[in-house]
This record gives sequence, structure tokens and C-alpha cells, in this order.
Amino acid sequence: MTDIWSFLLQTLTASGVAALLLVIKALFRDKLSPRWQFAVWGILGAMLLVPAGFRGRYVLLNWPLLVETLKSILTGRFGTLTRVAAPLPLPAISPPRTLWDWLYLVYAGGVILLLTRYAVAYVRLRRLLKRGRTAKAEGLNAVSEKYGLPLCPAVEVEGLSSAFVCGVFRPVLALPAGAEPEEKVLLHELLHLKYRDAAWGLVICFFRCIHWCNPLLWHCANLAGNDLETLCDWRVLERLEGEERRDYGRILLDMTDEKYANLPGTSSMANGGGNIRRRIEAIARFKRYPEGMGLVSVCVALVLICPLLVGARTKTLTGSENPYVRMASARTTWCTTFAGAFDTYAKAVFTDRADYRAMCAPLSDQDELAGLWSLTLTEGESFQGTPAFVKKWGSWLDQEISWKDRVDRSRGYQIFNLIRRENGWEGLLVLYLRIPPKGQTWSGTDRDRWLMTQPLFAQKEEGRWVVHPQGELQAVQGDIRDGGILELPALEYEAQAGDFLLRARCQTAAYVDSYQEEMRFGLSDFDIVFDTVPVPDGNFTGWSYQTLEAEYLGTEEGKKNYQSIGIACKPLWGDEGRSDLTETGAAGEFAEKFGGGGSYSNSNGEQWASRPLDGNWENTIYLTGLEGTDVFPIDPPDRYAVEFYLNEKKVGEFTLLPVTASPGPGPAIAKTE
Amino acid sequence: MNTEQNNLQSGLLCAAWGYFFLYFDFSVSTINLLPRFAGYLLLLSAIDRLSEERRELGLLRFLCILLAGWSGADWLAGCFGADLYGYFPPLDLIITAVGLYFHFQFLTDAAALAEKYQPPGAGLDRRLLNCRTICVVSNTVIALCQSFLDGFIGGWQAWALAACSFIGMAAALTAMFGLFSLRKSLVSTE
Repeated sequence: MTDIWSFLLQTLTASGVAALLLVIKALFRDKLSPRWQFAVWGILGAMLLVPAGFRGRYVLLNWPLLVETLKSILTGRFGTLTRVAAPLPLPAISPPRTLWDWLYLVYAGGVILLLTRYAVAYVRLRRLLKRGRTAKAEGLNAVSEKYGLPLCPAVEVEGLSSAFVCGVFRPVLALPAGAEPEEKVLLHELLHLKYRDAAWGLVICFFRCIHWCNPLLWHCANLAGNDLETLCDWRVLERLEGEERRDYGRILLDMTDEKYANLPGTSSMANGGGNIRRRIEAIARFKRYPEGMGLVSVCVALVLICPLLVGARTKTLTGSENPYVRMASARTTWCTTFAGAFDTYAKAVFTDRADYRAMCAPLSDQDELAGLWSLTLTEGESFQGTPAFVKKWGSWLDQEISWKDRVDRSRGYQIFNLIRRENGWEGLLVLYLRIPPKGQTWSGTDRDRWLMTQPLFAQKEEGRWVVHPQGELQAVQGDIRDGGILELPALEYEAQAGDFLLRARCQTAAYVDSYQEEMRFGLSDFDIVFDTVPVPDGNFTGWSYQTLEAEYLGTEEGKKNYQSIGIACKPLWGDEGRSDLTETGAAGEFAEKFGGGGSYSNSNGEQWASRPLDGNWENTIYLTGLEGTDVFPIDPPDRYAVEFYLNEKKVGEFTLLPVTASPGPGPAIAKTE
Repeated sequence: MNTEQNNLQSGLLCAAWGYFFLYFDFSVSTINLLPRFAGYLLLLSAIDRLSEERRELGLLRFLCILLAGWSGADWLAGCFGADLYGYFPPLDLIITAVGLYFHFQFLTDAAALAEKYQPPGAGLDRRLLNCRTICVVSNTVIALCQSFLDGFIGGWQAWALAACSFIGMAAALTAMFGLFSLRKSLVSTE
């Protein structure tokens, strides 16, 4: 913990667990053994040692949201995320400047003060014990022998009211001077010695100091100490029979009014009047627990501790529209996959929501996004024109048509040509427009569809996947076919075959499946709608697109030599041989279809196409396209094996090799004016 | 028939039917006609009738009321298409822990009654104890899987969970039939 906010997060998380344990212990007080009652505090101990908010997870309640909201309200800042580096107070990173820095200093000072106070008290006690005289060994030896317990040096000290064991590594049994200690008192203290209970006392004291300003945890520390004593009582009762147990209860009753040492590294039989009364009630309930109780005790502890250690992660934003709460929710709703980050960004652009953008934005952008969110709230639903968030990235967008009307939500989004880089993923965001940009025309078909593109880069920053736009939103007019969108970047493979340059283009597209069925009101059928709520932990569904084309490089006069063109093509990876193309009978099937022109493909990505070349044909001949779903990440082919046909005769076999190093996410066409 | 025998028989009958309601569902639209809270109310009735014979059962009374209340609230929410589970995680955790202990201890006490009243060589007490152990282990595994898998259950995890659920249910139904058998043997002894 390096600031007051990380301490607040840590202590609140522990408090939630403590409250849960108090309820659980109350429910099982008379049902599960004292051993379980004490051991279950180990869950709280474990939570105190685990940094809160680890990997964006919370325990029981969304404490990170609460702390982030409070921090934003009190400091006016949105661009930081509270992290607990360690569950202990560490020196602050910078000298104190603000009120919150000074508060942290006060807290850390309190920890040091308490630790010092306990250490000094312990040292004083050890010095006092050193001045004591060695106690008579007969009673101690007798108890040790009778019950098979270890021994330690024992001293009698003037002024002590009750016996206690002091020390973990060099324990000493301190006894009141002038009185013959009862056998059962010695039994109790030797059992503390056997099970090293003084060490647990040290641990409890340590956590008490770390969370000295949390009254609930202080109370739990007291209860844990009492449970330790109750456990020791139980161990004593297991070794006694009948009337001896009643005697033990009477001894405890006599200690009700005694003062006791409550120092770290000590364990005392007397621990206060109220506690002793509770221990006597526990003695009255004493029973030997039946066979099998160990199993259910462990099972109950496991179902408690595992969800607490694993934690939970929030995947949706809070419903509150308050800017502080909303932006805190966005910061603490991590995008845990790069697909989720791209999805969240795409939907932020769809809906022009600064809170969605904040989920996948670097912390450095959060202050600005908080301002944009507040603007959205003030402007309300009636806001026309291009809202602030999208406008930031698309300066060409006109103000006359609302953003909601412009984007075609039914088509969703796609991330084209995703490529893994050393420290992240690069891709091209593609959205579909229903209304072309100002001054542009559209036939209403996919042959000249207007798209919006933006190059993006996603990387992990301190555990969160964030998206960095690499350029502005730009309008592109594209020809959408089965083989992809021709105007967008693609991996290209080429080979020259006489007067023709053969080319294959490969594009990949990915999106997080957000389509849902929505029942039509009053009818039994459904509409498929695109859900614009981000999926921050989403995974991609992949599509691959292939197009084959031939570019004529010869003279205009030479064109009359060609009446038809055909191609058989197969993608290859690694060491695959091109002979597979012939073995599958592709050439034979192709010949059947060649005459009338057409195209054919199979599920292996093999394609055949032919085109008649009559009249005034264009230099660039589109032969065929293919699209198909694929397991993400999609691995583009290394090359293509091709058989080329002219005038229905095979002219050769070629291998199309890559000519672009990467599809490059940049837009193909300059922005419109 | 004396009152004690009467209580014993009716208590065992309530317990057996209670488990029936806990492990069988019959829903019409969103309404479950065999609600779990009815099962817990039957178990509560069983506790009241059997606690004279077995004092330890009285310790389960409050836990049974808690489970009945929670199940009732969940059933009511279910009638409106909602689900209480996951709404307030700390409460889910408490209910899971309480449920685990409750069924373990209830069947342990039922086994103690079986040991006392079963016909010679019937082995009902052993059967109930084994069912109890299988139930608590399978329910623990299911609860742990749900917390580790973070809501994502697919592939082999789904099969493993289904297998665990099936085993736990089979054990609970075996216990239910064991309770019916014990009651039947008491009636025939009379």
C-alpha cells in the first residue's frame, strides 16, 4: 500500500470478509468445533495477505468501484487506478503534497507507533521475567509427564495475577509468586506451549497494527484471541474427565476479575471477565465431535475460502449515470482480452459513449472522457449532430445527420486484418454507414457501400487491455463481395503468367458475436439484432476472405488473342505440396465447369473460376471470391498453388507468393471532404 | 400407537418427502410446482417431530428456517423470471455453507436414528452415512467449480459438473428412499 486509497481498498476488502466470517461463526457457534472456529480466522488472515483488487478482481462486494468513486469525488481526478502493490504500508512514491498524502503519512505513522509500543512492552516484560526466580519444577514435571507435553523454563514473578507463556522461539512460563499453581492451569499453559499459540498471538497483533484504524478488524483480532483461548480450553477438557471438567470451569470463574497481560507473544489463561463467561458457556456445551465432522468442517471452510481467494470480476457497467460513479465503473470494469477491448471500442464508437470508451482507454485519457460523459448527460437524448467523442476522431463528419441515423447497426462491426505485434494487436475497425458522407452518393447496394474505418492498436497496460486509435475515422467506399472488401488492405500474393499478373488477396475479419434474437411483439418469430453493450471479456469469431483476380499487362491489340480465362487455386501452408491440387481431381472438376464460365469452391479453400473474355473486357478481371468462418486467430496462407488456363487450355502451373509484408491496417482511401 | 412412535414415523415421512421436494422440479411456465422451500418446511416439521428422540436435531432448526426463507424468496423471484443467486454474493456464500452443513448433519442424525430403530442387518444407518458423505463432497466440488470457472462452463468442465450433480442427486435420492424404508420398517414393527 503506497497511498491512502490503496489502504482503504485493502482494509474495506478485509472488512467485508470479516463481516461475513462473523455471521458464519455466529451461525455455526454451537455446531462446529472450537478448532474450526479458530481455524476459520485463517481465511481473514489469508485475505489480509492478498493484495486487494488483484488483476481487477474484487471480493464479495465491488470495493474497487466504491474507492474509485470516492477518490474521484474527493480529488476531482479520474486518471488513476488504485492498486495495492503489497498488503503492508510501503513508503510513498513521492513527498506528501495533498491532504490525502498527509493522511497516508498519519496512517503509516500510526502503524509504526503501535508496532514500537508493542515491541517496547514485550522487551520490558522479558526483562521483568529475567528478574524472576526459577519456579519449582515438581508440579510442572508431573503435569508434563502425565499428559505428554513439552516443558520450558518457568519463573515466578511478584505481582502477577495469572500464569502465561511468553515468547515463541525461547518461551518462558511465567507464574504468580507465592502460590502453588493448579494442575489444570499448568495443563492449559503447557498446551499453549505445545501448539505454539504465542506465535498466533504475534500474527494477530501484527494485523491489528496494520489495520489499527479499522474498528471492525480490531474487534475481530480480539475475537480471534478469545477463540484461541477457547480452543485451548477444549484441548484441556479433552484430557479431563467428569468432575475435573467442572473444576476447570470453577478455576476460570475465579479468574473473572483478574487483570491479564494482553501482549504479543504471550498467551494467558485469564483474558477478561466477559471472555471468560463466554468460555465457560463453551465448556458447558463441550462434547466430543462425532466421526465425520472433520470432513464437513473442511468442506465448509473450502466453500468459503475459495470464492474469497478467487474473487469476482465485474463485466458490466453500473446502472448509475452519475459521472463519478460511471467513470469509476468504467475504469474498474477491465477489458481482460484484446478481443474484448476491440469490441468495447467498436461499441463505444457505435453508441458514442465516453463511458464505454473509458473501459478500454488508457488512464491518461480518463479525465477527458469524464468531461465528455458529463457533456453527454447535459445534452441528453435530444443531442443532434455528431457527439463529442466520435467527433474527436472524425473531423470530416457533418453535423446535419445524427450519429445514430448514420451508422448501420444491423451490420455490426468487424476488425479487419488482425496482426499480432510484439506488444499487442493491430487491426482495422470497419463500420457500415447507412447514409453516405455529405456530397457523396450511394446506390444502396454493397457494390459501392460506404464504410467507416479506423486503424487501431490494442495492448496491455497494467493488466488492462486498452485500445489506441492510430488515426482518424475515415470514410471509404467499398465493393463488398464474397471475397471481402476490395478497397480495404489485404495480404496480396502474385505471380506473372505471360501477359497476365495473377493475384490472390486474403483478408481476415473478426468480431465478438453480439447478435441476439429479439422476439417481435405479438409474433412468434424473431429479429436478429446487434447488441451494442460491450463484452469486455469477449473472444473473437473469425472470418477469412479470398479473392482471385488477373491483371492484363499486354497490349490492347493482344487482347483479341484471348477468349476465356480460368484458374484453379489452392492455399498452402508450411510444407504442403502443390501436387495435392491435382490429386483431388480439381482439374477434372474444373474442366466440367469451364465452358460456360463460373466459379466453384470447396471447404478446403480451393477455388476454380472461369470467365469468358468477349467484347471490351477490363484489364483487371475479377475471377472469384470465397468467404468462410475460421478458428481465431486466423493463419493466412503462406502461398497459393495455381493452375492457369487460357482459351480452355492449361498454360502452366504457378505459385503465388506474398508481396506485402502485412496487410497494414491503414485505410485505403483518403478521407472525404 | 404411542405419541413417540407417531412422532417418529411422521417425522421420517416428512423428512423423506422433504428430500423429494428438494430434488425434483416440475415447472409450469416460470412457476415451480415442487418448490424447494416446501422441502425445507417439511424438513423443519421433521426436525420438530424428531428432536425429542434426537436432541442434536434441534440445533438445525434455525438453519432450516434460514434455508426455507431463502428458497421461498428465490421461488418468488423465479415466478417473475428473476434469479436471486448472484444478486448479493455474500448471502449466496452463507447459504451455500449453511446448506452444506445442514444436510450433512441432518443425515448424520437420521443415521443415528436408523441405527437405533432399523431391523437387524438392514444397514440403513451405513447407507445414510455414505449418502451423506457423497452429497457433501459432490456439493462442495460443484460449489468450488462454480467459483473457479467464473461463470464459464464449457467442454469437459460441463461434463464433470454434470457428473458431480448426478452423483450427488443419486446419493440424495438413495437417502430419501432410506428414510422411507426406515419409516416403513417402524410401521411394520408395530
